[in-house]
Amino acid sequence: MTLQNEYAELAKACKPHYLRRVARHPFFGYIVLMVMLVVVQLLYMFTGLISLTVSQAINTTMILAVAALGVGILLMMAGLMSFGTGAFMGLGTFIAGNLLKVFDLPFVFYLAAVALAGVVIGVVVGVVSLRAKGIHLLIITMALSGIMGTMFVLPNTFTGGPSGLSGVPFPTLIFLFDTSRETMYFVVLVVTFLLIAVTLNIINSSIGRAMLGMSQSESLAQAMGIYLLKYRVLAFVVATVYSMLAGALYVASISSSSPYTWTTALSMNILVAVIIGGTAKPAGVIAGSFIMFCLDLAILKSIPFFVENPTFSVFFMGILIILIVMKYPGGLMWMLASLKYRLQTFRTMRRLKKYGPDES
Amino acid sequence: MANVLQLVLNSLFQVGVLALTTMGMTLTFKTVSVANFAQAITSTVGAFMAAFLLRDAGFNAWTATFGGVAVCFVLGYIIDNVIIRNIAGGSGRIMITIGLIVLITAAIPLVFGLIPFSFPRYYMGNLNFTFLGMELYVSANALFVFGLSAAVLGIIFLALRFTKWGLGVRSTASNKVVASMMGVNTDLMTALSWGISSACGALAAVLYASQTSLVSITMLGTVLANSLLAFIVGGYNSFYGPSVGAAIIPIALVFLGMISGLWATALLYAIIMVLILIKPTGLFGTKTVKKV
Repeated sequence: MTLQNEYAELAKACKPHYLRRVARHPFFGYIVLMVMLVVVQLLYMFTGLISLTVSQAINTTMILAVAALGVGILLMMAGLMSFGTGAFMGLGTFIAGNLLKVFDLPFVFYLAAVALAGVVIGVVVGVVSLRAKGIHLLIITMALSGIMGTMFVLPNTFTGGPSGLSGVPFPTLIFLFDTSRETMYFVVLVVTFLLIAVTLNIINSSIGRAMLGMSQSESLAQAMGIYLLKYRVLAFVVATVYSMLAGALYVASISSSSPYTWTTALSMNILVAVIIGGTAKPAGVIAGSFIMFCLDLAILKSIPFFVENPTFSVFFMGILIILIVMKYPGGLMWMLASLKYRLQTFRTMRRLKKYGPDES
Repeated sequence: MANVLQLVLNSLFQVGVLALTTMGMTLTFKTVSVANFAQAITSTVGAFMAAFLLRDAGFNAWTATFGGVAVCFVLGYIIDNVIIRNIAGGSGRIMITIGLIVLITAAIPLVFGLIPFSFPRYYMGNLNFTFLGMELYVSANALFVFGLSAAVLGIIFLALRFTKWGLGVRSTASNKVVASMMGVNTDLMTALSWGISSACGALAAVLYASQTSLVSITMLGTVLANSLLAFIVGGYNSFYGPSVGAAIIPIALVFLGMISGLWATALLYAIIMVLILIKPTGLFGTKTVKKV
């Protein structure tokens, strides 16, 4: 037996079991999550075990999680903090809503149109705000969302003025299937999953590395040959496209859009969700979104105490946010990692106690 | 012309309130380097407390105001001592202030109940006078609000310049580590700054409530947004810059409102965006040199 064969045998022996390899695939966790959410919706549709509130809360959370994914890339990878998310979502709802009212096309076309608009706006915002950083960028994006908020409320046919857009028809899928409030849930899940895949690819590609370098030190990144304008504009384009897609999903599944929803407060909440999650990785962002937007409606509202005292649930949320940021500044993902580490140390200590120190 | 001057006089109380809020913002930003988005909501606690003392505890307007301000001072001190100090810098601190907004917004109805509060004016009536042949009037209460704010700001500026506390705050603001090495109790300085900034905000909230006679959770929303703008326009490198910015913004809003009432705020935002892009340090700021 040659050495090469021996190595091949060794490699074969060391290769993890098939199931274990499946479980280690980067998409495995997300697929499990999606299947769970599909089961939740099926339980709601065909049995009465899950209430309408929970189903709608999950739907809204997934839509907001799409916007949060973009904010995650902007904040955690490129290190830029923006308050414009809410306003861009609003713009996405109005563009998609008007298109849906006029044209009867497959849903993909609306998403493509909205994404194209997002690219244009993202480029403009990215170029304009190139010089601003930190609090200046916050103020610029806040001002931008203020201006857009004023435009949304002005009486016009595009946004419907103060009363907003309503009566938007549900889109069709690939010319054949009409959707409804219930089936849009699945469409939202599919789009979210696709965007999670895109996000993972962005994070692990050279674009992601360049953005990470830029967020650590702009001067150093520039010295290493990273063209700042390009990557800053790219980060803004990604965030804007994601939030406008989230807007399109929102108007398609809720079929109305009020201009007073798209405020800076919403952008703040999305930022908090990303910070609670603690990483640009989709797992953290989605966990943060669930805590921020779903916990209150889906879980706390099923506990009798919180049903009787609705303000207490908001109070509880505030305490939760503060505790998470105080105790685990790295977010939920850091919390999980530290818990895992503690479990491992505990196991090691128990083994040492039981069997004594290792022979070697 | 008389019309314009009258509008400016009407926005006098907004200048006072905004200047106080912005001062609070500046103090926390300079010492802890965090943009305090919870400034408005902690101030609102002071207004609620004052209104509560006035209505339910039988205090008069002056002692109620003092009570509200004192409670807010303690609140700010506690927030810094318990929460802000224990968090490493960066975006976490901004998120904490947003968490505080959620927490306090929920806590106010729990503590003070759901019956709406109101706060009376300190002085009734208007002062009529002629200026260059123009008949003008100013509300006595607005004049009092402006005067009190100016006086408090003056005291704070003098204290920053001449007292030991001011020296401590200035040294903490310029470099926290070196200041603590030189024997400045930086923890005490930041906690006091939070307390004083909350107290300033509470005074602003009570004064605002006295002019508009309304105490509600969202009463300071626009004031907070404007104070952030004033903070940037004036330039936060100096202590006096933001106060000048606070004087500019309500008056700018008056003039923009004459162009178009509907678009006044949007125009202001657009102008400030351009201003930030041209001169990011603000009107009175100096450029900070950063080592790579």
